[in-house]
Amino acid sequence: MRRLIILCLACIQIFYSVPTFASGKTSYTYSMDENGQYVKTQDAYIPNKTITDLKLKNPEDLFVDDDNNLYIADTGNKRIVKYSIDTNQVLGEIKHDEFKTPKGIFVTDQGDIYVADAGAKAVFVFNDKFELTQHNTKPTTPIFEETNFEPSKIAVDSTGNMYIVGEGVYSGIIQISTNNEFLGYFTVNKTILTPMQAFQKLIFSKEQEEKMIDITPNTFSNVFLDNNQGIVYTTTMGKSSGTGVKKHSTNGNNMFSKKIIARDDTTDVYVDDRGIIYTASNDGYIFVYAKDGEFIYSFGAPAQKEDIAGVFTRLPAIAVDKNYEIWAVDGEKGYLQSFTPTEYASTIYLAMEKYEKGEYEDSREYWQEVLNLNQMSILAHNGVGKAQLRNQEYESAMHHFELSGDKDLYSEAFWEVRNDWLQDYLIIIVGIVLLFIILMKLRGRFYKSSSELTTRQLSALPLMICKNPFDAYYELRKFRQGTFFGASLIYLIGFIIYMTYRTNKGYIYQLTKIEDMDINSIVIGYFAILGLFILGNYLVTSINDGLGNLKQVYMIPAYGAFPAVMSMLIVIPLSYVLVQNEAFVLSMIMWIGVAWSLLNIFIGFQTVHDYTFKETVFSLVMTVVMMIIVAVMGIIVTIMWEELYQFILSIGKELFRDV
Amino acid sequence: MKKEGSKAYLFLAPYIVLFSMFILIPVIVAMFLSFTYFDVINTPKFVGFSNYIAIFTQDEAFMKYVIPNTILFGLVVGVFGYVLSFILAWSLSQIQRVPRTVLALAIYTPSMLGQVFIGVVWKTIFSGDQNGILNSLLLELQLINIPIQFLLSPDYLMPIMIIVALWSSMGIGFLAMLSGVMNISSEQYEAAYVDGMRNRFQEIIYITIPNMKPQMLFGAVMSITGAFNMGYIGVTLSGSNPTPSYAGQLITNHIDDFAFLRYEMGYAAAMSVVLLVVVYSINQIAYKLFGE
Repeated sequence: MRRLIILCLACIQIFYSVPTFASGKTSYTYSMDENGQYVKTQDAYIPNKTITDLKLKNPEDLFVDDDNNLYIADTGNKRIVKYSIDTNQVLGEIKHDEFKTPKGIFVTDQGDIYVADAGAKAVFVFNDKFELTQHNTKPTTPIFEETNFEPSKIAVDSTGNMYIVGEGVYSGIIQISTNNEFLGYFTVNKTILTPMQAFQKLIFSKEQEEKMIDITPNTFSNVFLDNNQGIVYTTTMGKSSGTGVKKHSTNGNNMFSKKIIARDDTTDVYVDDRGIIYTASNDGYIFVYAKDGEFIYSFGAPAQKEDIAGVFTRLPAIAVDKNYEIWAVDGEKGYLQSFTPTEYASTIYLAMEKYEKGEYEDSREYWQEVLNLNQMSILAHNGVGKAQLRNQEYESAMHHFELSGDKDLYSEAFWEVRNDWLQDYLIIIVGIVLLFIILMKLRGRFYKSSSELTTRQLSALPLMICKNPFDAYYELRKFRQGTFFGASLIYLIGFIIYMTYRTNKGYIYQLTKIEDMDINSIVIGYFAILGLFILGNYLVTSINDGLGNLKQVYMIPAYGAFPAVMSMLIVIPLSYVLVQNEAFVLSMIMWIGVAWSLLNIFIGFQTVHDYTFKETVFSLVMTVVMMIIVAVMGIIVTIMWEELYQFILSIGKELFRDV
Repeated sequence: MKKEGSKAYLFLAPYIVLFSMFILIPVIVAMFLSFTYFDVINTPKFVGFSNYIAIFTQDEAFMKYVIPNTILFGLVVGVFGYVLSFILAWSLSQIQRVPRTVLALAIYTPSMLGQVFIGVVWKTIFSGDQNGILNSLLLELQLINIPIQFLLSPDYLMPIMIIVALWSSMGIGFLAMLSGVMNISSEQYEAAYVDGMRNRFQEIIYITIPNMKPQMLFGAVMSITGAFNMGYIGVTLSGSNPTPSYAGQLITNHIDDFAFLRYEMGYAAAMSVVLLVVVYSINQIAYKLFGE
């Protein structure tokens, strides 16, 4: 019910928000919902300035220095343009005779301008007066001799070490010292094989291997160095399975532990002084991530025929200025476009910053503000929850984590709630346990003969089967134990418990939500598979000297499945009180229950049909084959019947029309 | 009559003296210490039940990691180790004498060598740099990019501990079971086959297990106590106590941690009493299941 209300509110809000924000936006902003699907959200950025008068031709890179000046690598015109964002003026340009395709640019804190030129196969360094101070061609280090040196992107750390993306270099990011010595590859993209590919590699010949397995690693498309922290970020093109954007520690390892949601054609990465990560993709999307690589939202789109501000024909580079405006450049049409963050975006950043600093109360308030703008924001619910977790408001944290779908954190909050509860009632629990033990002892003293089970057959036979399946099933056959009614009742109860197990576990363990479940297929599946199995087994065994009749075949699985039903019955309530790192208890109970049942049923078939081990296995395999045949037949008959029905229907129509 | 009784006690005396000196008195002292605050230097100070209350209310690591870890480790190593030692003992009994002796020795050896062997063999296999056997194999096959820190990563430590514990759990219980299986006379099987027994399954259920109940009980008790006392594996593998993010922290490590690293003897003693109660009650269950 609560979900429904939220949904309604959200709908109202969406209708509301369209007129207010419609003015500036040209593309939708998307974030993630709790199932990992893109959903439209409030506009995070609105196109601001469009600068077309710089006459850029195929620009490839952007950089913003500390004084809020934008440097543009104007590759087509073989120049670097310096543009003041504050005054909207061109402050100058660098031209050099040896420039061929200046594709990458980086400006250090001292104002040194590094230009990577793939065509000229060199890195040029200029000082802040645009005078050439260094001209670094290919390092002469012997181990680097055979590698291409066509630097296309560059980043420089505070000691002057250069990190270079070279065209046609698969080995990794080239690291070169100030004295133009090759230091090695800072980081590499290695291919990871799936187990299947690794197996193929073992058995294939060289030729087959080359054909079958693509082992060329993905190439780096860009490199960026955050001047404040000295952290290197890289982007990778190609199907990278979650490593499209990487944040590197000093030894080159990737610091993002999770998979990063990124496009396959990520071209540029930029990080502002708050640690927010922005990436651009070739087809015109801009993605924004939090410090830890968590996806916040994306916006932008590929351009259609018309020229619209905020969509791109090709997006090679972005940069972020000191006012946190995003600058992007269109690689085909050569114009600059800036985006201003909306209040929604700024609030999110503020909330993250506050959390980072440990001001949880402030962080919670900002997240609350985000929630006021967008009730559905997963990020905001998560943010509020995290802040509350730190503030020890566990119950409402649980509520927010449930809305954001974060089971790990939900489990953490729930542990705290449960711990509080346990402590409040510890003495009572201990008391009850002691009382129970004493009662058991007393009971043992008064009734010595309680071991005799006087329960009715219905429950006695399943218990007997659990204790000794051989004897119990033997009795089932020999002395006609067990009833049709009893077995049917067990099937029905088992079905009810199974449905509860599938649909009504505790939040942490309910992996698919009831809304996403196909209840019909579960119901039909349960009865159809059961029916087919019993029928199939009876048909197969009756022509293979099996002794059991149909009624007995019907009863075997019912009585044998008792442990599995019991374990489900135990797991359901437990799933409400156990947290995530106690999950093994549940899986252990289920494993034992299911294994026990399967063993029972196997022994059941063996005993009732009086088979050897081999014959039992054979009959079970044949049963499965039989089931498949019957199912296929059923489907064919249904389809044929449908055809026949249509045929009769059309004949009828013809008749009526002609008459 | 009275004289006879005192003579019996005389014969029992060596055992009684040694048992109380090395087992009974230490246990009683530990129980006494568990009600005190004792830091090894000052005299113990009586604090009532507060140690026990602290275990369950203030020790977050204990409730959050140590208990689930101990249950997981105890269940897997205890139950699987027990089943495994029965299966191995039974299969060994089916083969010829010479290979049986060799294999039994090979299976039994790890439990004798214990800690030293773990340091030498398993640390080399799971070493976290690229020279670790498993890491270099995975790198060779290109299944991973960078070596995995098996022994320092919370995700891998527990499974590795369980593997190592299972490997070294074929101890005295396994030998007892082997001798139990071997001692069943083949005439019983023959008689049963005459009576209509048809397969090995039935052989095990109707003849083997009922005939070796005492050994089964002994094996169960050994594997339960063993599983609860193998805490040293995690510490030896990871080289630190507490283990990384408490991933492999068992109750024995926790006791070690408090007793010999923090010198809170009273608290550690209280925890050992809790462990004693737990192991005792599980053993009671084992007696119910396998005893007469």
